[in-house]
Amino acid sequence: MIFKRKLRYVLVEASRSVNLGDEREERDLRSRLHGVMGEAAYFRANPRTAAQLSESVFIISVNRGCEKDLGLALSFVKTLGSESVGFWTIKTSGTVKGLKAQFKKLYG
Amino acid sequence: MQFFDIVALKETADLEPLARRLGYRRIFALGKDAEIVGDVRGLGENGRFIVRSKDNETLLKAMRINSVVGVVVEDGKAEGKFIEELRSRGKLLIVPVAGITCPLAEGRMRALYRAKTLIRSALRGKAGIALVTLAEGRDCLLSRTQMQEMAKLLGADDRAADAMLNSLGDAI
Repeated sequence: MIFKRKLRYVLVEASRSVNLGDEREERDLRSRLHGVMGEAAYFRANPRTAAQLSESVFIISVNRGCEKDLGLALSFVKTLGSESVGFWTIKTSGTVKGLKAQFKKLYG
Repeated sequence: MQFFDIVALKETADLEPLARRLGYRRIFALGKDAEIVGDVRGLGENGRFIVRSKDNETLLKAMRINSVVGVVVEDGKAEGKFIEELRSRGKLLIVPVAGITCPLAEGRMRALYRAKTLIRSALRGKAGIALVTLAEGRDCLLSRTQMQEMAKLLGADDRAADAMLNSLGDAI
């Protein structure tokens, strides 16, 4: 039986501006997460960029139950492209709408 | 519960809005809220100090000084006597996470094992632990939820993880 997996959305801030609309940067982030998490955990979490809200703030979707793994994995990602970067998980929500509201509240 | 962090940022940054976004009650700054020193000579009773050393003797001496809030064990080795002294004097074992996430000289796995051993000894000896980033750059900062997960990775349960992020608030 095929069933739909529920997602959780994580609001992530980067220490510098990142452009995840650029396919190369997004692919680089995914490959670094894959390297940190390992094949099985990455497949289980299935992280995807859901939306970019500003130069340094974006939303990543993961399968429900894996949001803490994503936070930990992001702690170890310190390079993107050729530049150094840090990622901070700010909030987690079940909807993109909820995170957008949080974004407005936190970043004004 | 309120959570705290301490950083050694080289660049100037407004820590208050950053602390709010990252989920901390407050982010302390080294040089402003506390000083980090490598030696106990000349340490007075005024101010707040964190002593960072490889030498256990220096760290034991540091624990007898009232103005010292905690110690950073650089080589990651802590004997039973050392942990007992930490507990009885009410000082904190400060474990910097920047050495794990942004390792300089040694590899990440080595730093992880070192921190895990240290935390395990301190938890067994019921000594106070403060898990902090001690970040020198913004890239090495972590949010509160990331730090909680890091504490669990290093062998703490949920309650101990929260205590590790809370303990600095009472000390400084």
